[in-house]
Amino acid sequence: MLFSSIFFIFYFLPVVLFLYYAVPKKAKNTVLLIASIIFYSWGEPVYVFLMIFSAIFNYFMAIDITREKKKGKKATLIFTVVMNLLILGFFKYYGFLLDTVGALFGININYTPLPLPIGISFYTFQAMSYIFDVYRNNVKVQINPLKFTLYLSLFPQLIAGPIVKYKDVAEQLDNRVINLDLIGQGVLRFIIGLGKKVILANSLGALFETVRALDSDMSVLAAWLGIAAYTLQIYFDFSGYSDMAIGLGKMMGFHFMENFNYPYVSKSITEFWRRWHISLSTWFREYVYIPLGGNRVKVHRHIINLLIVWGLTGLWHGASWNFVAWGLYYGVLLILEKYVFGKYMEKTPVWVRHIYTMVIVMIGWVFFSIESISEAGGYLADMFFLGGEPVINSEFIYLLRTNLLMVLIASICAGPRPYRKFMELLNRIPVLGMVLLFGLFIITIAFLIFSSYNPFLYFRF
Amino acid sequence: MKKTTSALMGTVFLVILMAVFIANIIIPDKKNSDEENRVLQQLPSFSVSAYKEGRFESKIEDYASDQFILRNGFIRLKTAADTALGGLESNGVYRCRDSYLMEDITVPTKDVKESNTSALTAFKEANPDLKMYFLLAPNAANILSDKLPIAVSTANQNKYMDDFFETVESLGITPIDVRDTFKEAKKDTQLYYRTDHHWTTDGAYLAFEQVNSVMELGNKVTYTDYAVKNDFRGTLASKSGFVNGMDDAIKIYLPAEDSEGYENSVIYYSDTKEKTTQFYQVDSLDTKDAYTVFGGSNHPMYTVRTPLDTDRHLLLIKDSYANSMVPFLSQCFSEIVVVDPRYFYDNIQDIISSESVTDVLFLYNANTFFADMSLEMMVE
Repeated sequence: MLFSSIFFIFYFLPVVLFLYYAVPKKAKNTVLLIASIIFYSWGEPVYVFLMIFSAIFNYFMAIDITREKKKGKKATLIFTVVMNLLILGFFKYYGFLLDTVGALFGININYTPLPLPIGISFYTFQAMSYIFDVYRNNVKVQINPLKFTLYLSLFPQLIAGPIVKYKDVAEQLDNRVINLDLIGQGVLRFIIGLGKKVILANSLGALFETVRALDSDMSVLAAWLGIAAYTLQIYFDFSGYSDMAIGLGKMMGFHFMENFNYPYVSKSITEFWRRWHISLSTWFREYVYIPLGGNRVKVHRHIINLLIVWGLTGLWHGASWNFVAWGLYYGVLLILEKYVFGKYMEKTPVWVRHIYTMVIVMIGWVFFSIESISEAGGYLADMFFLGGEPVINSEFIYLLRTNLLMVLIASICAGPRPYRKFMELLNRIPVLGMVLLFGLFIITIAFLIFSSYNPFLYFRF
Repeated sequence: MKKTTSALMGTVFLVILMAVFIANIIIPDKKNSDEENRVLQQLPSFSVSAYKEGRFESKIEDYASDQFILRNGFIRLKTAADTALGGLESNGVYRCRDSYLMEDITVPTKDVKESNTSALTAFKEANPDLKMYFLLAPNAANILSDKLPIAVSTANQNKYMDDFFETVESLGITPIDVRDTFKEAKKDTQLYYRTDHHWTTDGAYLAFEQVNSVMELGNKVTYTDYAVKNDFRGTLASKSGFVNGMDDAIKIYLPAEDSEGYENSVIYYSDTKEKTTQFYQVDSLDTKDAYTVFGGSNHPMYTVRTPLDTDRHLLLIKDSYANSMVPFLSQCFSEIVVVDPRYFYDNIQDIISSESVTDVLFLYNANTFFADMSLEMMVE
């Protein structure tokens, strides 16, 4: 099920919230667990068993690891991690592996691609955070299997993060505060996230699709407009989803970590990755980068560490080489910023650094959004006058004319100011702020309803 | 945020959720949507197998949207928001100047072109003695392209039409090209409806005058026009959801009082076995699709017999653009067989010989014709 659907907002959510608030404290976890299982099984009834299996498996393994740890052994830990990676690998990367092997040996391997189990990358990483933290004594092992399954399947953050680490919510699984004040804060986050996704991200996505389909009507400026639209789309889509997750969590007394912090105000790539998908980068930092030695090693070793982490980060995003390329691209840039031009950057004017960062990020999104590396290269060539396309043509003017306002609004909303101003207004004149917020909610609903507007074209007679 | 504010916000949200939930359950579901002219999703029944296959889930999600309270109000709100943000297009319909809505131009695919050419070739070869004419009507976005929003560029319909007329002529079929007539007339005459994809009766009559001279029909009847509906909102308004666009008048042409030689026709619909002397179905004016005043909805075939002193029998192969022209044609042929190939499954050759057809007129609008391959099916 998706948050951005009428069914979720006006059927699933009211029923779940009503039951959740109505039942006594002891039963709240059960309500949430059942809701989460239904939520996950929605349209995906088979893979729900995979998730439950993953929960049970990691639950028992963690108990085993604590026992074994006293004897100073690691075998179960290694087994558990390998199993988790194998499951993830099988469902997410097996087609990719076969393709790669086939390409290497010049043979054609036929296989039926498996549909990717929704959220498997997220919940596998969550489970592994638990395993590692249990091993490191960072957290007490969970004795109650239902609570652990709830942690893994908690529906607000199940499909698209944030990747909540077990140690961050361990206490909340036992004990959490629920009150109207928190619910209100959650509502604010949820509505803002929903608006980001439904109004901005979807319209920006349509613009990018239009540009991609221009074909012979492509122009240099259209290529830039398209990738700018995608740049904004992916931010609003992903951060909107995180906002909704955080907001829903708050309505139920959970506090999830922030996942985005206005990444597009960054003035370096290093800063960008401190602000983008924070729960993923901290996961890699904590469980891969630091165990590898982090930056407290010799330079060449540090560079290798960074490349490993960023190759994996890329691969996490999707099972194809363009994602690996995208990850390594960032790895190389971070190394360059650290060892080569970091010291010059400090002397560069702020606006130059900002433009540099945005151009780098937009080029990165070309490889992220277009799966075929050669097509991505073609798009990049169009952007930099190498595709033989005109700089400007009438298609571009039409696209600009019909989308300029939306792109401008989206660009402004990608920065911190609108939210800050809105919060100030909410403090000064609460009623006006609330009218605006619920007005946004109503418009968002209109967008959702319209997506099902499907007039039957009876006049084609 | 102050605690009282957030608490109030939380309360309002929960109240909205519960109220909408209850309202959606209490308010009876609708069967159809007039605005969208389709059947709405009803509450699906639950079964484990439907759930396992995801059918139940997708149906109930459609149900939630289709039966949502104030659905049509939300749709209007969305198109208003689009308009405010500078959107000029919705579902392939452009918001144009002077309150016009216009359909985008259809680009004929290679398959469609080949299919139609081979159908016409075969049809002409099978009936070498029949006189054949092809009226391919241009669409609003072509003739009224000056009303398109700035920077909108549609495909070049004139090029497709030129190519097509050339093909048709080489097959020995006489093209009837009304584009020059229309371009001339558009200053003074409203040729297309503002919110519908059809031509107006004025447009149809202008085209008929050209048919009359090219086919040498010698029409003598003169007409007076009457507006029978003043608040017509057509298919393009429904399709796009745009709330602007201006209501149109629907006119019908009746023989002028001093006109000579008008004879009443008998129309026989072979699918419903209905016989009538009325071309205009006035009851249709109050329905959503008021254009059906011109001869009702789709009939695979019908015949129009008029007691005239002529041997000419017409086979009219057409789409809905012809509906408003049939009354004019009726005064030039003692019999017209009207066939819509999209719904017609009989043998066309049998009909040509049994009805002693002497002339064949193809009448389509370019957008429909360039997306349609049913002609080939009819000929085969």
